[in-house]
Amino acid sequence: MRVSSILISGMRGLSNEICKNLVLAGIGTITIIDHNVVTEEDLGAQFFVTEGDIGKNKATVSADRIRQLNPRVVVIADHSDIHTKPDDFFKVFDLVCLTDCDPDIMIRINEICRNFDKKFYAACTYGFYGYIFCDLKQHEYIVERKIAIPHKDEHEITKLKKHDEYVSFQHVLSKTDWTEISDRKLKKISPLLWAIQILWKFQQEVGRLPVTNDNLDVEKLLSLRNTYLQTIHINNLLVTDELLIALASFSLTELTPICAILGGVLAQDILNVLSKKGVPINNLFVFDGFQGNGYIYHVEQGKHIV
Amino acid sequence: MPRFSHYEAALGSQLFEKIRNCRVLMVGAGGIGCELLKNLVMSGFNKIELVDLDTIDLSNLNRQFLFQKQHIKKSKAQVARESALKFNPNASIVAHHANIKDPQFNIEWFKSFDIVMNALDNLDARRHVNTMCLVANIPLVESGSEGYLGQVTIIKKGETECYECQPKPTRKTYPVCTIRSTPSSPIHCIVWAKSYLFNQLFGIPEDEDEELDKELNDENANEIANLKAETLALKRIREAMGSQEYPKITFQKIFNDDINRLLTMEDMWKTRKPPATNPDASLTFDKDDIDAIDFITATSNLRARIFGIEEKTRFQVKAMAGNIIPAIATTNAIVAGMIVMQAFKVLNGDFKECKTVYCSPDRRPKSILSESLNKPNVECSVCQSAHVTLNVNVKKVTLRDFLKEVVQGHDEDENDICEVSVEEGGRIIYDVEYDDNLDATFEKLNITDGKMVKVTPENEDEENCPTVFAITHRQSPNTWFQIDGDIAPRFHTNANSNAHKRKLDDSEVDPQEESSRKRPAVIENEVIVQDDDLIMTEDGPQRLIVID
Repeated sequence: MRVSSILISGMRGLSNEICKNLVLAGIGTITIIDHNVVTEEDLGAQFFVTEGDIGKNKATVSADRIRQLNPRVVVIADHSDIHTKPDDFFKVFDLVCLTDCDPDIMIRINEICRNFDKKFYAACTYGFYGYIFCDLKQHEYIVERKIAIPHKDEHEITKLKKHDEYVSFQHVLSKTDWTEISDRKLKKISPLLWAIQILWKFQQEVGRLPVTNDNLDVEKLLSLRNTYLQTIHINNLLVTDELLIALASFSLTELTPICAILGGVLAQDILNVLSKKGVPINNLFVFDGFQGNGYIYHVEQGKHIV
Repeated sequence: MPRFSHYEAALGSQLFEKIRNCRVLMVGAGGIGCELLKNLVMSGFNKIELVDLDTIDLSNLNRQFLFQKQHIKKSKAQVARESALKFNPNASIVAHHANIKDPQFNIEWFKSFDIVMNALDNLDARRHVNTMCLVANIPLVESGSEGYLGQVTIIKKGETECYECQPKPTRKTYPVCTIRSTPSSPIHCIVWAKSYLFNQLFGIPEDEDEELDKELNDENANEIANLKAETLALKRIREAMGSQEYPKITFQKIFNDDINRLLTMEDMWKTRKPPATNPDASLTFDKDDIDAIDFITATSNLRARIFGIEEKTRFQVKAMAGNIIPAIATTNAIVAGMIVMQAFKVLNGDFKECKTVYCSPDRRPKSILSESLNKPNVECSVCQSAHVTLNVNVKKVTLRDFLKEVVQGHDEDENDICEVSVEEGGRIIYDVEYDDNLDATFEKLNITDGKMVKVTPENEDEENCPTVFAITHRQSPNTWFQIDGDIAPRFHTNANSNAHKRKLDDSEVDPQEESSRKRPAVIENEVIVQDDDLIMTEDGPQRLIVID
């Protein structure tokens, strides 16, 4: 963990939280990449930037503040656009974490990471909602189990070695056999799981996030929902208009408490993965801040989901 | 304001307005506290007060991100405030480097807040804040974390369970004979070193005899007697502390003589492995440098060796002796996020939407889950009492006055024995068989501003529930009482109970009245009134009882 090199892309509320958590724990090197400049709206959820930084590059100013949290961590700021980076750029990192990214760049960088055997995470918050996607390709780790020893006031700790295989982001997007999953399990799935995928489809087709004031955008969103759910034979009623429009209207909204929760879950997973201890997310964590529920789904062709 | 545009959009302008105007009390500025303060300031909370008695230590720096190396030894509350102000210099944050149990943080002070959030790490402070919030009738967001587990819940008098509705799991205790005579696990040796030996030699020895008596039965009577004699002998040796022979005598006694004495109890070792007095010990007893943990590690491992038990490292011993579960920074970050989410719901008046939220890796695939809040436990001795504030002149009012005028009421025969018991701070002030204190003033009885007096009727039923009176001292030339809040119908039968009761139902409270209610009541020094008059205070109409 202490010699690991991590790339975090996108410096918004969620990545502020991830960086804080990783740097406090003591990662080797953290590289932050964002080509945008600080605006006044950013002050709401990004605690590494202040009013005096407005107009300056986000990565550069945040790096200064992040360094102060732990002088032992090397913090590198890159102010270019991640879309312009060549494949080789990603070779030097052990783990890549994309935040607030569009699905196409997620597909591309995920493939690159798979080719170079790097760990890959992608996450985003949409107002009260959010997700974490994880692709570790192949991961070996230790799980500790506490077993009570009879007749003694003690527990024995046994260590089990585990090996998990992961699927790519593209594989998740292409899952069509949802009806393989039992009805009982399907009913318990959070509709956000599909709503988020519909949002991704919108981004892929239109090239940007929906604007819910725009009737055409809303129409497109709902029609995408209808097509998608029909293709995978899932009942239309499971993803309501209200939920989808709410998700879309929050797609650029960031709230500190939600960033804190998702950033905490993600950072802990990264720390576990780097130290090869504990069960990582495999492979999609979906968070509903309204209900106060966070589920880990295993999205893969086949009948498993949890 | 552009910086809050996201919050206004997500929460709506009405709720966001409430957030901007509400007064928040945050108790604790440690692991959860730092994260929580950041969340509050970023989310637009504008009037924040925080209390923490601690100073910053090197070990805090890898978790409590508002603190850096240059802040070591400074006040957590004050440094947290300074660091958090950098996120929004316009926020108003008041920091108190103090103990939340200090008398300055009385009921009036608690009442001035709209919401209280705990970021504590101990039972005692949580109990205290729980009681204060019940009496002041303010919603409390309670939270905790232990390793990878985290939890947030809401406590609101009358609506939800309070902190004491469910008994808290007590620390595992071990039978005294196991600790003193027949240990079989490392934890037995550590508890022996920490709770028995360390206390007997260096601390205020707990009444060891009392502990031994608890386990007295026919079979072990002999052994209990022997153990008592051993404790006494150790006490005598302690008197020799400071002399040259002291360490040698002590060492000889606990690791040789006592063991040999145990070996003579042949029955004890029929089914157990007996101790050996000359183990292959390479440990040396250092008389000059005895750090508490070093001592416990050394002595417990030595004893473990004697009894053939596995020994533990200093780190492990410290963990076991201190009941320490390592704090995980990310859990605290998650919990602090969950606290603010619940706070939004509380401020919105949405108690039905509030939940207990857990973060628990063991409950996968649901790693964050929420459950409905529980209704209060009808048998809870803390929240099922009526809670009122009693404004009174503690220097003038006697116990007799209180019982006669407040508890019994004018109409009752003065010679009737008041069938209640009165307690304060765990001691009995009065009951049907103990009336020595009747003519003492509250002050003489050490019932002063901020104390809680609990009156429990002998016949408890629905009409006769206990009442906790939170004492607020008022200067007054006369002795008089003023009661704020609902009290059990039995008490003060003199007053017309309908006029007296004032329901604190949030949904009925007009916002303007609510904000004026938040200012503490101002009482004049001289009040000329008749008994039973209704006077208008800033808290609304109040009945007066005047006694000259």
